[in-house]
Amino acid sequence: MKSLKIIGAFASIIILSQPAYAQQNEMNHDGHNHSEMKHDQMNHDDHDHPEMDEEGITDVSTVIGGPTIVATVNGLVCDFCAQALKKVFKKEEAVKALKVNLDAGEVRIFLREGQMLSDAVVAKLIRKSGYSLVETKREGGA
Amino acid sequence: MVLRLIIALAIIVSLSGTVHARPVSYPGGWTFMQKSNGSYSSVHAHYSPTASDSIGAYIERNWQEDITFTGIQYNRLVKRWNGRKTQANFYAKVGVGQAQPFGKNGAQIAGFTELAMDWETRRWFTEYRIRATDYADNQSIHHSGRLGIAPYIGNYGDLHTWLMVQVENHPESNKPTTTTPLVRLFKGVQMLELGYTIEHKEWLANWIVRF
Repeated sequence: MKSLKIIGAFASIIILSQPAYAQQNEMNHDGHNHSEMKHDQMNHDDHDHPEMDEEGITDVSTVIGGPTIVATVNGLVCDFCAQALKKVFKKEEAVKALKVNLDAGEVRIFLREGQMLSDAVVAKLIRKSGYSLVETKREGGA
Repeated sequence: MVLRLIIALAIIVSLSGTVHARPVSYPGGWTFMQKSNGSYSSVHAHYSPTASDSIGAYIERNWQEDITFTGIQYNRLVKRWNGRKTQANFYAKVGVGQAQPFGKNGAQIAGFTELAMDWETRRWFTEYRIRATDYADNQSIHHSGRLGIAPYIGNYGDLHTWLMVQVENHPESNKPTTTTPLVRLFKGVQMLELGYTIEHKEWLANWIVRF
């Protein structure tokens, strides 16, 4: 009976964790307008991208310079905190990339050129993620 | 057999992208939780509209009481204390639904409520819970506590490991106090806990994934 319970639990885990793969069909795109396609619907075979994470935010290792906000944040104790911040900040058009340094309790927010994010908005987004802003510093004309 | 299953789970975790056992996710996040030990098996799927609330379905097969509970669960982050290198949380949970004794007809209105508090750093973890259930003719109040330590501090994206001890108290049980050493692994959006309850000689297996 005990083994049955454990096996049942593991079976449900394994079944539920199977990835779903989208079918790849060859299609005729003549006459289609792809100008409004989302980035993840496009063919990337013939060009390189900076490495991107699962949220589509550019990996910080490939971001050099640019306007940056360095936010000191309280409550950053785990990866999940970092993920919550990424999920919230990725919705902001002005944000190009995000780097969370758990050791320093610091979030570096890389902005797109010409875009800005006020301290009030940064504080609001961090609070929305479940954490609290201590202070911000600005670099590179942010 | 059990070893193979553990290896399969370890592979799943290592292949996937983090999670904490927190009952509330980020705004717009979905969470699936599966828990199993010698006393009960449960699944809980919930959606978090804000960083302070989540609501979803909860199903529990209680092996000890031989009852199945099906209902809706609401979780509320009542208060979070964000420190420079620490975080503490106070959660309230409530579930309402029906409980059906296994193999019998006649489901009854049932419910539960739980208060949970935790405090953690990147090295230490502590947690205390008190849960009251009213499943048909079975009423119970039990407590549990956890103490954990991370043997190493991983960077963001690494596989994080916690060694924990869980102590539970079920006053009405013939063995009221139980001890469960367990290992918690989490990486990306997934968390796995494997443990063994010494007094009942039962395995514990919990799995959580967030979307």
